Amino acid sequence: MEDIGNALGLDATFIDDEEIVPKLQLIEDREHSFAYQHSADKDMRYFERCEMAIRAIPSEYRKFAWALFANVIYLPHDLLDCTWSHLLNKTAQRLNVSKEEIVESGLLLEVDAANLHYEFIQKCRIPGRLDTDKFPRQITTVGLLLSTMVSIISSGLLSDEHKETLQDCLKKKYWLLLVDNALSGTSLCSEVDKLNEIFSLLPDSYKLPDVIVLIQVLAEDAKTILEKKLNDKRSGNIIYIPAIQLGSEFKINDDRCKLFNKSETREGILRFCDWFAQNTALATDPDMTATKCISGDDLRYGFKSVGLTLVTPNCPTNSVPPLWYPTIDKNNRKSTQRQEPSYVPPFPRLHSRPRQSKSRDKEHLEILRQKCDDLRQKIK
Amino acid sequence: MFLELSERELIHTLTNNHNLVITLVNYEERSVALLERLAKESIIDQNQVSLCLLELTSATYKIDVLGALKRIHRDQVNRAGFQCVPAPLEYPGSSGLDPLRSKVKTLIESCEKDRFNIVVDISCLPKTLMYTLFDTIYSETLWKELAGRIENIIVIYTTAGSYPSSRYAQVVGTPIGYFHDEELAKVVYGKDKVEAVIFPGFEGFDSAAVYEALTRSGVRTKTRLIFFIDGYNFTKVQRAMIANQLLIHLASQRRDTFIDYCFSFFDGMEMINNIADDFVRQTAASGEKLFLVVPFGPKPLTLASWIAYKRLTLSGVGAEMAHVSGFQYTSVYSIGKGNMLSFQLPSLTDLQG
Repeated sequence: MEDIGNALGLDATFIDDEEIVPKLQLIEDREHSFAYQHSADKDMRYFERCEMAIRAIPSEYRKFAWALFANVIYLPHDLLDCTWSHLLNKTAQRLNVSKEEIVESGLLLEVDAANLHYEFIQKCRIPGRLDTDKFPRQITTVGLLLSTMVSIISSGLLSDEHKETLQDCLKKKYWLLLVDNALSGTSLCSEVDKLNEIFSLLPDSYKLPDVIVLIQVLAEDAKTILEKKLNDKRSGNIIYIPAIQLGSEFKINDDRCKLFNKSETREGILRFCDWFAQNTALATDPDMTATKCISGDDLRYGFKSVGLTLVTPNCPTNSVPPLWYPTIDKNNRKSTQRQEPSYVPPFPRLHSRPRQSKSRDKEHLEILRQKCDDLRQKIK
Repeated sequence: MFLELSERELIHTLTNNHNLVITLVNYEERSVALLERLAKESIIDQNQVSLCLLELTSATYKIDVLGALKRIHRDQVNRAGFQCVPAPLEYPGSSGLDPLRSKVKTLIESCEKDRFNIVVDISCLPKTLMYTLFDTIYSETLWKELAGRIENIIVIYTTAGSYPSSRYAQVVGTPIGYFHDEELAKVVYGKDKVEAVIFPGFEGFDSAAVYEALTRSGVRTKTRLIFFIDGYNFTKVQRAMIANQLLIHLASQRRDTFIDYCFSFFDGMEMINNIADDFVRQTAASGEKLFLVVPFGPKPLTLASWIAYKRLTLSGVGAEMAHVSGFQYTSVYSIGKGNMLSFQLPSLTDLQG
């Protein structure tokens, strides 16, 4: 008879040392109320999904995989949704104005067009979602702001309408930049750069708005580069407020990591991640090539080596790949050349940017820089 | 209803009025944080402060080491030179409650200034004393006598720097309805429905005991668990959630138990206030429904829970606060001091709606 415990790499001491039972149970209970939306099989409990994943990896990594799965920071929608009203409260306190004034004189922008502005409006119980003077629908991201500015100088049919929308936006005193996850900080810092560029293109007569970056989850790596960016005098009108901060104690590839009780466990998990990056389809997957290129590594500790165990409604690539990368894809391609059983991670990710195709923001900025005088004249 | 004050706003409020400061000094470093700050930084003139210094005494429990720490803190306060009325109170037990009421009343009634702030440092105040203290402050007779002389009611809370690692089993009592002073099962007996709002603590046993008592009572109960998420200390959040796993598990299985999250004391205060508002709106004054607040989370949320309780009782709606007596003298309760937070509380008129 197969010894199930051994087959799964489990032993009582390890289970106790790493508090596997209560940690796994917590995720299971949270998932029972708010299931991970991209699970391969919605009827499978968390334990069962972990077990299935663990059976597909070599035995020497199995117990470490249990510790990894037990230490997932699972933040489902219900918890994240509550951050928005908190962030609005905090903004009001920081700026010393009422929430109503912020909403009335605020422009909602978001990073990566994830419909966050709608969630924000709903969760903060802000009336007037469809009032376009309050929430201009054409401009919900920095990218859309840029394309609106470009369309004004290109003098098309919609030029006047865009001009009016832009002027409405520029009148807003507070620009709230909504961010779900700032983990490596790459996207966020790029948006901050674009905003600074936009502000430099505006006529001097415009009073720059206060930009408040509202972040649901902020990781240490992103915090470090964001603070550096905001210390730049160009960013004097930009502040950030996070709801949840995940410091270095949550980063598995950092010596200060405190997720695990024994240092051997963390070392074992790092070895498991190394193996996973080198020996599964992740090593050769063409869909991940562009992402790896931008990350500058083989993604063994997640995008830009952020090394988290964070799981949000769509597991971020900054978390370690054994949590989200399936070694077989939806088209049922062969998993690996080595014919190992296909690995279905507990939290498969629905990739939002597999090709890492570029937005047109840079191109738009270039046009605006060249026609800066024209723009200033038109929106004066 | 509540207002969180920035440091600048707090200083502005304190410097513009005379201040009746009520604080409890004990063996925790944070118990003297407010006075230390007021004295050291010369934020306000010493003549602007009338201090009521509460101190717990116990004939039964004497722990000399902790007593020595407390003496150090008391000496520190004495050296600060504020005009001070000492108020030794017997604790635990209820015999300290009447002296507390009378000391606080005397402090307020004897104030000769035309207008004044009442400033209460709740950082180290046991829950039961806190309820009595605020019940005295929010007494209708007192507000009538003072006729608008209370300018602001300010609450100060200094978070702990950290908590001791050596914790041993606590002595735990039966869940009771604090104001009915009887077992929870008896309090809810015969009610059509109970709406319970639980702020789970960091240990978990107390909330679970209340939940079980409610379940065993057989009375139809809707329970909301509001977890305090300290976004800057997520490790502690994970610990608290694991400690309260039984309730999280039940919430995932049952249709009458829900989970909410607050990310700051202020969020939590607003949340309980809104829930109480909804309850008042939905419930005609009737003894058949009961609003039960169960505050085991951080102290400011306990105070906000008491205020919700008070508002409901003033509106004639049935309300109660669950209480589980505990006992912990196995170490210092907290180590060092963290941030000092301040909140402005509503006036009695605001509470009366």
